[in-house]
Amino acid sequence: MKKITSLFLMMLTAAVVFTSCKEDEKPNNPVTISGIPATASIEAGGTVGPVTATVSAPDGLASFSIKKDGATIATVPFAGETSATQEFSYTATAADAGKNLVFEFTATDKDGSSATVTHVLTVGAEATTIRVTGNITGTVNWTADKTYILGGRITVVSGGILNIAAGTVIKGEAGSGANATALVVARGGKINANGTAASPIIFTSVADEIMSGEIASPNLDPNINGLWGGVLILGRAPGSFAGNVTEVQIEGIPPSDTNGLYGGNLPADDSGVFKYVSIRHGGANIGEGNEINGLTLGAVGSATVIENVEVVGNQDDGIEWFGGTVNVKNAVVWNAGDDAIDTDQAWAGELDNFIVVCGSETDHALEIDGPEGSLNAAHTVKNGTVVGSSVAELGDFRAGARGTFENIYFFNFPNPATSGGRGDLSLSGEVDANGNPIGNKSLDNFTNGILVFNMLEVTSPAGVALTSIFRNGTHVHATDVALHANTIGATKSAFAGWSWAAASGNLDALK
Amino acid sequence: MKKLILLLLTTIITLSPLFSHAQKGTIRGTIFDEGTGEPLFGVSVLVEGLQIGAVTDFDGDFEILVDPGTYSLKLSFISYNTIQIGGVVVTEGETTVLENIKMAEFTSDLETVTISAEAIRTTEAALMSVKRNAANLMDGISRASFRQIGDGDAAAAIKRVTGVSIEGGKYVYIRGLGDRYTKTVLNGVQVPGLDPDRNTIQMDIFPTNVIDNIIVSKSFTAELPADFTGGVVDIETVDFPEEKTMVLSVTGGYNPSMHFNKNYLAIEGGKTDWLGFDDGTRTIPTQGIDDIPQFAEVVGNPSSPRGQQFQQILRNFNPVLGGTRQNSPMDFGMGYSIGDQFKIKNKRFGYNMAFTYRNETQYFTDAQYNLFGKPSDANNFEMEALERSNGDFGVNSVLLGGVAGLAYKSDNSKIKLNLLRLQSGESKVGQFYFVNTNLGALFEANQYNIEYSERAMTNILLNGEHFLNRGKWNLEWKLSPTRSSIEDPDVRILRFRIPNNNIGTEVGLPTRIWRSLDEESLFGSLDLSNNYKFKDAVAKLRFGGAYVYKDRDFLIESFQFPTGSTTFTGDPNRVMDEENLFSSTNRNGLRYDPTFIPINPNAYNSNLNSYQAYISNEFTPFNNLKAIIGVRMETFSQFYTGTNQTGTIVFDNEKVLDDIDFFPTVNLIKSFKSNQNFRAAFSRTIARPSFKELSFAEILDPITGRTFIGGLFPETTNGGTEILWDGNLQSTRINNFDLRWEKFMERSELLSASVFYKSFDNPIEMVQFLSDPGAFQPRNVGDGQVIGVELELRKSLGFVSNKIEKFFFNTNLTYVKSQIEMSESEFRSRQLSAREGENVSRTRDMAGQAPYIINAGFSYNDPIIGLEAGVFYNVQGPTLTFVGFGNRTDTYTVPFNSLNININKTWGRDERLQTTFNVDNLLGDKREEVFRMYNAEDQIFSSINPGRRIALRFRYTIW
Repeated sequence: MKKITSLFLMMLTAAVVFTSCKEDEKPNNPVTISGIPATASIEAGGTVGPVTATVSAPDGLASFSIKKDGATIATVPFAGETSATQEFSYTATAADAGKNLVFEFTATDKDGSSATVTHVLTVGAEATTIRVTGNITGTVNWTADKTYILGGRITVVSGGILNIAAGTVIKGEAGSGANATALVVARGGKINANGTAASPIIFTSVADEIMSGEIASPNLDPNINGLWGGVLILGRAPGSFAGNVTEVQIEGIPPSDTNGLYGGNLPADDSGVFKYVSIRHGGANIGEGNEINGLTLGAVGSATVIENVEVVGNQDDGIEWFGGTVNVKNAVVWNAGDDAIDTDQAWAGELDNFIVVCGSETDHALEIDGPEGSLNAAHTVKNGTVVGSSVAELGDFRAGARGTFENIYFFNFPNPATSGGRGDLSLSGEVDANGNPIGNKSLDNFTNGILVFNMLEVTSPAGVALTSIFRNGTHVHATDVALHANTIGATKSAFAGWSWAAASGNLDALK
Repeated sequence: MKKLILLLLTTIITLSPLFSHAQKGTIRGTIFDEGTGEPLFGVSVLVEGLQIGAVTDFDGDFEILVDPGTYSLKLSFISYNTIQIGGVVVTEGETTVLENIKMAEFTSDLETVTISAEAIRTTEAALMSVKRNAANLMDGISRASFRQIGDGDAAAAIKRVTGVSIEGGKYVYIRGLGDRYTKTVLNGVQVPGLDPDRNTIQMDIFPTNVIDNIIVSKSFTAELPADFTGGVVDIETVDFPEEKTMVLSVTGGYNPSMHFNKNYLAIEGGKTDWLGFDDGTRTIPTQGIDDIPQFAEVVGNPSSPRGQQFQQILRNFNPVLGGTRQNSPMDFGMGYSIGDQFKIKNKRFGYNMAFTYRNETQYFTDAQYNLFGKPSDANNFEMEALERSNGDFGVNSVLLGGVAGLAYKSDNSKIKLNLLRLQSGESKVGQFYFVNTNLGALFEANQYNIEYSERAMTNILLNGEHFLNRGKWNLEWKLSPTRSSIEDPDVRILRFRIPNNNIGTEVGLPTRIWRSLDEESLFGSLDLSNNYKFKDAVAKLRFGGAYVYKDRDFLIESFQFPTGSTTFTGDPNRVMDEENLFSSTNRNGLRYDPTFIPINPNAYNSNLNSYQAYISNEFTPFNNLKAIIGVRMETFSQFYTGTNQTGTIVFDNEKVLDDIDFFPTVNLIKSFKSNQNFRAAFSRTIARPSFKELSFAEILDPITGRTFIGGLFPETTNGGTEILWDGNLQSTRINNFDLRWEKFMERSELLSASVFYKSFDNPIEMVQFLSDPGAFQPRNVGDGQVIGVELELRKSLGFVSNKIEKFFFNTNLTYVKSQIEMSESEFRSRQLSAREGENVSRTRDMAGQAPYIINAGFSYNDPIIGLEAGVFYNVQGPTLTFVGFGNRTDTYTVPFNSLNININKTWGRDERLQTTFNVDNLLGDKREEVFRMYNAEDQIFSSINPGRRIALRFRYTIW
């Protein structure tokens, strides 16, 4: 964004009014220009106007010209109109910062009379905070030397490309419910968020005083949530939707905003790159079951690259997949308000190397749902370490969950017998009209090898049998190990340096 | 308004004694033309033996003052048979009323017809003659019948009109066509009811002693508003009470399953709840604040001025989130009405006033509200439970109403001023056990609901009628402003997850909502009619115009309360304890989120104006064939100011509907065998979208989780390439065809059979979003058709034996087949989610149209001893309510078998005391709606048990 468009001039003839000429014209009437203010001041990157100049030339207007610091930047010919209006606007460049620009507006009539008015524009230093209020079309670059404020639900619409440089900090304004501020990458839009381990990209709230280069928030605790929305990436890959429709509206965006639709039939759809990104203090709730997650991935295609992502203190889920084919590598979710890792609608990708640190509000570390329509695809979740909390559950596999879950280590969960059924991993079933269990498709899938567990390890609370933690027969794939004596789990080095979870020391004890 | 009523009251009370004639008695009567049922102007009424008499005015009314005694009256009118009425008893200071005197046109050399005063009292109402001879299809009930059968209010009275059913004790259905297609008007003026989203006025607010008549028109004529299809109900209030009356009534209602129950749920509301309005207890804490502080602004510095303001607002929310169990009172009601007429310098004045107060309590136990969906497996024939809630709720509703009328009559003019004010408040408190099994989620919760709804309506009607050229011309004008409002202050919803009493996004955050709707409207009309002769028969030409203006402001503001790291005990009234609330020492405490700022699609203004004109001619082109042929023109422009949720579309008084339509109508009536008619009618009518429907509103109902989406939004699919809905909501145009045969017999007996057919062009229905089945939007769906047959029978059992001639059997049977052409998206959605072996048709039932309606009553009526007793049955066939989409199924109402008993008895010689005893829902049926899927067992959508209600009313005539 350094090279801001050098000159931007809008010349729109809003209205040209003819007045009938009388035969007895008086010769050599004067020309007048009105409507141009004498002075104005803006920041570099800012725009003055549009202002409307009104020209009166009873003898017939011949031309209208604008000079900037003595050089003509525009000339508009006229064909003898006796009055005319011209719109003018100017966007200051970085090079204009600290200068006074002189604009001269000259109108000349047919017999040579002319009038000139002068406008002095004082350009201040370039703003370091950019408030974004409109959707993103075309290519837009966000750079680390500025802080970007999301002034609403900002969507990279179809065809738009948003490039975010490493180290950029993006802050969402206050907003809740349908008014939550969020960044949405709609179907056909692209995001290139290329953070690095040294300079991650951070999405947070305006309440956060964090600056580019910092990892931990200087003023907000990691469990504060719901201050803004989150990041939603929506693609055109298939999903398994109720009623077998091909596209549906994402949670957290009201159905009237069609940029919230996801799903299609392009498994290899490309929504861009999303690397080394930390998303904090977000989550918004329109209604029950209609929330914004930290990172929402709706039918994102396999050509999209998502690696090294962190979600901290989100009011709803950490990362939630709704169908799609995208793979995600190196993810950490800390203090999720609901579930940490949540999958739905037959997501057909892989999550490899992840850490979940449950907080005091976290419900399920893993909440895995099955298909909702007739498309039966499955995903793989592997190489993870899950740190429990006193209210959290290891996992809930439900509604015909399918897929492979392997090499995952769980610890710090409560005893299910004394915590109202928390602290377990279960395959929950379906119930009839009276609430009685009538089936358990997840269990059937488990029995039939469609839902696969492999190499699970746990450090159980003292005296708790594996069968009461890993229920429905899943205990056969689990081993009880001493604390941090796990042989499988996440590779925590992938999170070092750029994630708040690592910087806070929360991962130190992990193997 | 209140002052005005008071002033009126004092004036009348002080004036009325001046004009009473204590030493003499008064004879008053009204004379009608038997043929047309219309009042006769200029009939000479002579008291035989005395040289005094009177001439009827344009209302057919006459009045004579005589000394007490028994008289005989002689009524004569050119080319009509003279009538002699004997046995007219006049007592000192009293009024003897002879309504319903009918004179027939001169037929033969018959001399005078003699009839006794007593017989006139029990004769059938003039309205029956109107009905019999009217060229349009109409029915009704009049003041004369109210006296005989003693119904207390309009809702009870109109049930006696065949083909009309009352929903929920309040709203009218005609031929099974509900609110969108049925309309209620007051004195011919379209008045918004207490619920401005409905077309109909709540009927039970009008005591019968202020009503002159209720007319139900089932076929359209050009002087009626064109936006009706099922019918129009017109409640006409009394202008000149025949005699001085003052009536006091007291009602008590008892429902064994609801009253004196110590588990009843309520909260301590405001001090004025018992009067039907809130005293400010429920005022929104952010009132008057332009820039409401948000949590994200203050979490960093809670002690800043903004932070302190935030904390103050948070603490101003009423901490009551759950009801308390207490004893439920029984229902109570009272009414007072007064009316009279008097003369000042030969000008007649009439006045009447009525006040109604009702305080009713309901307590529903084991109420269910569920959500079921279709399983994804097409071979699965059992619906999946998604959400279920089961619990109790208590409702206390208060209605306070006042009607006042003042009328003036000179020789050729009549001017009426009518005031109506209604105020109602309804407090609802519920507690439910909630289970969520939606898409694999599995949790249980305790749910608490508190709601309050306050409604008010004020209507003024100024109406003038002028008779020119001895009644040849009649000019009538009306001017009527109305103001109505609905406020739903502080709707509260809370859920605790079982067993740990935690609150989070999965179980739903605590929510509070303030809704408000204000509407002002103005109606003006001018009608002219000319009586003339066509082929020697009476003919009438009517023409006129009307203007309607309405303006509505709508606002919803809602808050959510994230709870941060707070833990709870499970007591709903301790959630907002001080130690839980956000503060500088509890930065992750409970806080509020105002979800309606900065963009609120539910803050909008709409207005409309409509110019209307008509011409209609009623004449007799051939012998025994009468016709009304007319055409009405209505322009209709609706404007909207508001924004969509994203703020990308901003409408500033943008025109969203612009119609000009002509509505032709033909009504023909062929009479034969003197008491039979054959009728045929055709008309074109319209049903227009409401203000709410033509908006960008997105209204979430936190209880059902359903979102209403305004009709201005488009919906597309397949990446925007396919338009499911274009956002261009249009009015529905309807063609109506009616054929009817009817036979009138003695004593108001009637037998009729009708066939009707209606075609709907672009009917509006609530349709679910394909991409979001929880969102509903009004859309024009494919074309619709309704074909029906209707049978009516009102018969005395006198034909079996004379001994039981006072027993009446009354029935109305309607059978309707309705059909809607599905939209492409609905058809596809149904195919995609079809069960194995299910054949998805391109057509389905029309939403809201009942397939059959049965009304039947068996009654005993003896006006001489003042006893009227009856048993009445009503049932409406399973009706499609919500159209299914995606994995959501259709929902249907389950027929509610309503069996009621009603007994009225008047006591004493003067019949001053009247008692009414009734039992509602004798069968104890439940009101239920179900989800319906192919080859699957129905599942409950909603179920409540209204119980059996016994009510006893005493009505005492003081004057």
